[in-house]
Amino acid sequence: MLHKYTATAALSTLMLMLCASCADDDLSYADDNYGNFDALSEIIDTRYCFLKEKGIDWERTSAAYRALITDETNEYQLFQICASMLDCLEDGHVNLVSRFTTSYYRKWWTDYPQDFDLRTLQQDYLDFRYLSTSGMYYFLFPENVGYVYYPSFSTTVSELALDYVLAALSESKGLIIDIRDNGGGVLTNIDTFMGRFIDHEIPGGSICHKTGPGHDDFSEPYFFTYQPAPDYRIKYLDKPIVLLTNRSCYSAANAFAAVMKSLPNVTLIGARTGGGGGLPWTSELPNGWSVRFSASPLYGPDGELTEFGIDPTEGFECHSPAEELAAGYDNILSRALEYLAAFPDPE
Amino acid sequence: MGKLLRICICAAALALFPAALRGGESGYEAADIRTASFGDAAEADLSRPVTGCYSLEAGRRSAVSQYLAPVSYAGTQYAASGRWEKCMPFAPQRAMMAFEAHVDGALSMLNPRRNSSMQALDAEFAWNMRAWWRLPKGFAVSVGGGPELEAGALALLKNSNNPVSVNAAVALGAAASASWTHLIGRVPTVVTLNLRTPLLGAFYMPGYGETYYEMYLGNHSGLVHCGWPGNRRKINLHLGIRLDLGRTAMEVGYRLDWQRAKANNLVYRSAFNAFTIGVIPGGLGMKRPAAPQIRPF
Repeated sequence: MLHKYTATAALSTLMLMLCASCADDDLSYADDNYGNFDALSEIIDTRYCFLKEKGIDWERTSAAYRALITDETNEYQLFQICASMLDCLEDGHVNLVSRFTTSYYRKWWTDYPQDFDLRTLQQDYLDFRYLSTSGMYYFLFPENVGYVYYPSFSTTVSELALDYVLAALSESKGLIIDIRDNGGGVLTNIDTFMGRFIDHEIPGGSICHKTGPGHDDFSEPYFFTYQPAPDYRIKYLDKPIVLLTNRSCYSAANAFAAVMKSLPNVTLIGARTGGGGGLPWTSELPNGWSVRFSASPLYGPDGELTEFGIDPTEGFECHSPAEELAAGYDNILSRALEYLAAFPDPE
Repeated sequence: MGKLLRICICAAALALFPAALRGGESGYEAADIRTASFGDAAEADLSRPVTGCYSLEAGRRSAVSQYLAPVSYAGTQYAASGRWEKCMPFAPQRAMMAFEAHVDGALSMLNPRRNSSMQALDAEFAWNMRAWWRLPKGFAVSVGGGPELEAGALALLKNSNNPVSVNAAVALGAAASASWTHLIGRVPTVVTLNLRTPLLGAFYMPGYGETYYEMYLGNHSGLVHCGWPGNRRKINLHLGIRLDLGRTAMEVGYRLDWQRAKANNLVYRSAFNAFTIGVIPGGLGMKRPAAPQIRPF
């Protein structure tokens, strides 16, 4: 009798669990034009972190673009409608990725002067005699000013390479770090750089994240710091540093500008950076398209939201007009050289 | 040609499982199975061999981690597992322990549109102690519990700052089993049903929109949750048939490994349905054991 009950209980448990395994936690949207659009709309509505800061009425925006869809809308047209809707976020971290194309919001830099030309830099200032390692170009100007150009935070900077670079420039009276056209990359590279310019722990800013689908569901800010590099590493301390920026400095480069600006010996020269102060997140639609968007806001050491860019140091905003660059003159770099040349040589 | 094939198969069977064929000569009856494995010997005289089963598993896994994507991915998963059982020395006829280890991996699980791929790797260890009872007509049941440890990850490498969903948990769980020993022809056979489920413990779940960079910076609050059946349900069920072939035994079966965890407005769900095939070195001791022995079935 007992084994009969045992068998019944085991069978019941099995059935219960099998039923439970059918519980649906998937996106509850159909894989059709409306389903995919609605899924995208909900993902942004529940996870995008700057709707409030940017004053976007997402429900209204979404409804306006949904009205453009019909049953006859093909895949390419649907992609275009979705991409156009995402452009309303005015965020360079937002992409819609399909097998046939990827959408980008480009106006964060296309509507502004470029203020930089790589050929002019290499030919007219560095005379093609620069050294390069670990994604950095470096050079010592005749004015005894060191120069480092770091075009992308996507290239991981090795500690050893940075030792060589800073050792080569250690006798300079000042250092120019040029991050113009740096579109960002890996944030941990900031730690590597910052450790060489500080001799004590400094505030790095704060970060928070969405805790739920509501527009106000955010975690408490988490404040983080940067630590100095170990003593055996070569540092560049107690001498003036200039950071060159333009509108195409984005994401990690923008975050680097925010924290460098907080150092007393650092001057930002150039144009306001492009922003990108939200850590990107990726999700997926029923048809397999990926959507990337800002999910975690980053705040600078002064508590300012970095999404809208970092201004140059007051009195140091300047531009490098295209015609001057074409003629071999980089106004931003020349201004930095002039500024640092005025400092005395180190003893 | 067909005759030659039959001779080859018989020869191979004789070479691989000679004891199985000898079993036919020994004249075992269903009632003899018990006395062969557990006779009237004094408790202290009984040996308590470990019954270890080493299995390979293959089946279909489906998983959805809302940290990675709100759609489910599914594909073929393979696993290797081991299960060891032994009667306890202090009460061999009433207490037993079992240890289980599983390593599962899936190289490519696909989304419903089959245009994106996810990878999975998981490991699980569980030890438990159970009380067991032998029932009439070859039945035995056991109930108990013990600690479980699970760690693994789902990877969707196309994602930006959320490319991996870590699944980690430690728990005290309940375990139960039922078995039925009988003869199929002349082959002693044990049908087993093993069931485990966590009851109380802790599990990891990242914040709703929390990136690994934020964790790297040092924000670890809210990542570990107290787990109970209200927010983390899991069942590991294995139904198997063990055939005692003498010096060795084999097991074929089915496994369901299902779980669902919910915290921080995120759901992690996984289901693995697999066919299992395993070997039990030394057999089940039902065919002329060298000494009186006791096994928990």
